Amino acid sequence: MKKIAFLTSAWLAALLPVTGFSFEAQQQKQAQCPIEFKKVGQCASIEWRVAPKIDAYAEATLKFWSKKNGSPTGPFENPDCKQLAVSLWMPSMGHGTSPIRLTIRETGIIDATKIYFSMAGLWDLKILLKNGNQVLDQAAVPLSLTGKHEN
Amino acid sequence: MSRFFGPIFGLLLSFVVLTHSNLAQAAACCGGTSAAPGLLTGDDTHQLTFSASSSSVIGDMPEQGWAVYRSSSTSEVTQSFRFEGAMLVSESWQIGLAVPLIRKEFTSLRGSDSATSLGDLSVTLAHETWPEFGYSAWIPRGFTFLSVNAPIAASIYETTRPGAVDAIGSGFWRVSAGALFLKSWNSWDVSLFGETHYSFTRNFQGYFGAERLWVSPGWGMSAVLGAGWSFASAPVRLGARFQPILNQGRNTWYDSGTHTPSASQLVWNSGLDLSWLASPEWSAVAAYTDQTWLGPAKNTTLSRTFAFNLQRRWPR
Repeated sequence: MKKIAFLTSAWLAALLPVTGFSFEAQQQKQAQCPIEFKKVGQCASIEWRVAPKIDAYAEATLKFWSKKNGSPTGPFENPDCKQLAVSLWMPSMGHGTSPIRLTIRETGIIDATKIYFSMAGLWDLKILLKNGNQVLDQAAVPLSLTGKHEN
Repeated sequence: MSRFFGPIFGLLLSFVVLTHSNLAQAAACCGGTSAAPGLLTGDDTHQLTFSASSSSVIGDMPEQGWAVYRSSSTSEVTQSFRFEGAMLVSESWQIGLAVPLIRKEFTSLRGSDSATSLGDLSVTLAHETWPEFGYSAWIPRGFTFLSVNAPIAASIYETTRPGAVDAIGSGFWRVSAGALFLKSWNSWDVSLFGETHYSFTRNFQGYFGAERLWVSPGWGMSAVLGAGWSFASAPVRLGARFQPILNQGRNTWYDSGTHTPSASQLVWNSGLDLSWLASPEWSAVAAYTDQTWLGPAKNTTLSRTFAFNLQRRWPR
């Protein structure tokens, strides 16, 4: 019995650094490229200027950079597409909500306003990079609105 | 006189209030509705009904977890003005048409958006399948119906306005079939309504800049159990009703094949009604419907609705 306990402890001890290292690396990777567009080789981040709330407009700033040559602090570059589409989708309801307004503040920095969460629950913020009807790349940011909203 | 009219009041007014279930549409987003049509249930050849209602979303019931109530600093209000007509086309068959005018307003600390538009039209064919030929202490009078909803108004899949205030319609062709039973004893009346509906698959081009989206809402059902008591001394009725509405999860997919099933919806309307039969031709109802009194609810918004209904009938 003691032998089994010892072996199990040894195995767990051996595993922990590996798991810890993997988790840390994952975190670092996530920080460097929070929203990844693998096909076009770009990354993006989203900063909420007005936090997501139930039944109120939220506002966010999207920043895009090259995965190879950029970082979350810059230099930023425009999304590698002709059109950028950002929308909300509520998987449990099977629909989204009203269109989000996008304004280019400067190269690679885009303001998103009138972001309307029509009800509490789990949402996906979908970001599509498009050329006409062709979707070049896309990513989804999951959001959870379950608490009582702020005034 | 009041004793004589008591059962008639019950029969007439109990169904007038059922039509309010249409006004208590659950969600601004969802068009999660029942399909109770305004049937001729009295001894009349025609009837016209005007209904006005104001519905406020007060909270949300997510797919999992507890209800989340909204603060008073924001409001999402839907006002509905509904014109409904029904007429006999034979001794037992009748047809009906309903045309709603809907205004939606969303107000937050950062401003207000609103839109007004015609809502979805609905036409109904109904049959008095179980008429009352003689007195029975327990056999009810019964109607069956088939109703079609035409998606005239923009839906949540077509909204272009902030706050989705222009998402006024359900977005889908819907066929519903059901039955209504009415029974009254002196001052008391009971009504039971049940329907099942099917909403047809439809596609929406370029939904929010994406490729073509297909949506299949599929099946749903609702029921109303109502009861009322008419005063002996005045042509006034007090009523209560309970209405569960269940809709299956929507299947959504893109042309590329990306498929996302959604969860089913369940909500309970509970209501109180005050009805007044001014004459055999005219009646009015004030109704309150609340979606927080009964549960369980799932994957829906929760609303409170005040409604007023005026009805003109033409007796045979």
